Amino acid sequence: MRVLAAAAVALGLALALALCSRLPFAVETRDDARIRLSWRALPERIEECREPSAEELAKLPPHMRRPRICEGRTLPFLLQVTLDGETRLDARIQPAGVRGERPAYVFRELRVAPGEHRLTVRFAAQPDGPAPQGLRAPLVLEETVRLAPGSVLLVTYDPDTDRLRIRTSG
Amino acid sequence: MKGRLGDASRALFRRPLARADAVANRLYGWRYNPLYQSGTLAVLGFVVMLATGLYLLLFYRIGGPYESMVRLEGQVWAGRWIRALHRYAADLAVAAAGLHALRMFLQHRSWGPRTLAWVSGLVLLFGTFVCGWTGYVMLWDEQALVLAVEGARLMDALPIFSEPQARAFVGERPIPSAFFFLNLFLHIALPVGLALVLWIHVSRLARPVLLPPRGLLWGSLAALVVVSLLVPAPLGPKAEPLSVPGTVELDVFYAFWLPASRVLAPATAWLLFLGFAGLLTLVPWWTRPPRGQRPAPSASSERLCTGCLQCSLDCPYGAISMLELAGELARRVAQVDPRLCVSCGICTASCAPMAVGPPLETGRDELARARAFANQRRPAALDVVLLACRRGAGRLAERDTVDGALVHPVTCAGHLHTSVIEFLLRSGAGGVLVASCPPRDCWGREGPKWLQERLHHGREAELRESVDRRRLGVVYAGEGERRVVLQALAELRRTIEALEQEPAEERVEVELECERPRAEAS
Repeated sequence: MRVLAAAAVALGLALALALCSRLPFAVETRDDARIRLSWRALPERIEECREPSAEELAKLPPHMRRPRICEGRTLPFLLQVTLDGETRLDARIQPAGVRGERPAYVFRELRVAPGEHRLTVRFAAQPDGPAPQGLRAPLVLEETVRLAPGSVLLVTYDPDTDRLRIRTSG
Repeated sequence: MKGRLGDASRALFRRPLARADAVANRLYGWRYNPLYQSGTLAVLGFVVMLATGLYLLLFYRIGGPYESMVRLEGQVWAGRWIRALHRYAADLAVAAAGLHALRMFLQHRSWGPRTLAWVSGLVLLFGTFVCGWTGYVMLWDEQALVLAVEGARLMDALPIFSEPQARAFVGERPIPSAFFFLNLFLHIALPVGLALVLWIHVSRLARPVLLPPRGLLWGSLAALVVVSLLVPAPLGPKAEPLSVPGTVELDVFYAFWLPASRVLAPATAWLLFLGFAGLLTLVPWWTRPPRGQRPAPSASSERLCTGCLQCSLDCPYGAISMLELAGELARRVAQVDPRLCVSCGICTASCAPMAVGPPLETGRDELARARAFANQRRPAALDVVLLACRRGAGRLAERDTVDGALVHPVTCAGHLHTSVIEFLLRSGAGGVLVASCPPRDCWGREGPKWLQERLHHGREAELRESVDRRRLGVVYAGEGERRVVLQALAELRRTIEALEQEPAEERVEVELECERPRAEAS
């Protein structure tokens, strides 16, 4: 009798172990859909050059006297997402790295109601003042999208066509 | 303060665990009680994982991880249940290791010279978690994706990657084979490293026990195999980054942190993890008794030591070596290394001259206490003296008398010198019952084993042959097993009563037989 009880308890414990190995966990609800934005962008670098004055040059040691002094910096990006005319995201994206010289990474996810939507995504370098010459044109995506519950719509950048594009499952 | 913190946290678990031990002892007996074998069961889980993992490796393809798992699931005779066995063995390893750590903590076996074992044990546990994480990601089902994304999200909070790792799983491009190769590599390399850490973990033990006794080993294995056949390990739908995961089946032993981590900011999750890991790592520091209350390590008396080697053979921690003395009186004497000695006192009972032992806990001190006890309590011919271990024995050591028996508490039955038993019987007690912790639960590892050897098998410092073994009993009882001690007590009392009722002539004859040669000689 005791042996049977011992075997039953051992099996029960092993069964509990197996059941604890497969406990259901609701990671997220699948009632709504997601718009995921993910891409990598090289920062826009602008340089501001000027000619130093004679006094400035005189203060410098001879080997450091240059006719033009250029200071460069990278611009942050502005990411705007509107859905059916409503602004859902308006974020400034800084390039990575201590001096902001490394690529900027866009990695955002928006929760949206399933159904048909008019989606606009705009991604552009954001100068402090007037746009300097040679600045790249903003990346703009305007699409009507149909989202099923639980689906994810990925907006990403296609370097071959230099455009934003959409990916969905299937 | 530090010691009190440890005591308060121990009080929470000690009694429930003692009850669970008692139930398991009733079912399986102390020899096969799985709660006493938590460490060896963890190793068993590890060994089963290795064996089944080698088989699974033959079928795993880094170019199509999920597809290879589906193919494996199709192998009804081997693949499916072997994968389940691999998984449940991994769960067993973690559950048993957690229980093992809890036991060591509750039994004050987590500080001093045991710090190395505690810290290396934590490394083993953490390594097993990481190994498990790589194993679950290897499947590349929905659960794998959730774990991978969450792991990457946490890693991205650390300033070590230039590019967010979580972007790899957004569905922008297929997951590269290199990712699965890295996972597979870690999943194989980590256990190799863990085997090395296991060696460090047991390196301070003179006779480490790595596997459970045969009955428990085969029984556990059989239970795991039966459950693997009945409940196949889940394999969710293939990971689809462009789909919301919904509900997945989680393994709580390896992914228990996921629900909390998902709702916390990565930095907060890291802070909590580091705080908890720090708290566990510092257990040896915050649970050790205050400086004046720490048990002192054993010491040997050069004057009394005969160099018989026995204490160095008995020491479960290899803390005693023999020192060669030079000069005219060249001989060997025992030398205790205080860095290795855990003050278990097992050496106290190792030799007849009582030359070794912790201060105030040597055989001579025990004998002095027994003498004082006999003078005060004056045991009579029908009295039983219960030598109760303070750490187990149904907590009866706290009492003066139990069911009519006179209680004499001892620090540990394992360092009870046989002279104490002999003295108590000679001082008039009808019998002596030693109530010890079960052998696999001894705080000093091998105390009850050596006690039995000294009482019944002639191990050095043995109980003299002239002592009537019928008047002596040894019972193994954990903290929650008062009933077991009372049963043994009643049984010994019946034996003593029977002995006392034997015809006096018979006894006289025996005594005369013994006395005759002496009388003739004189």
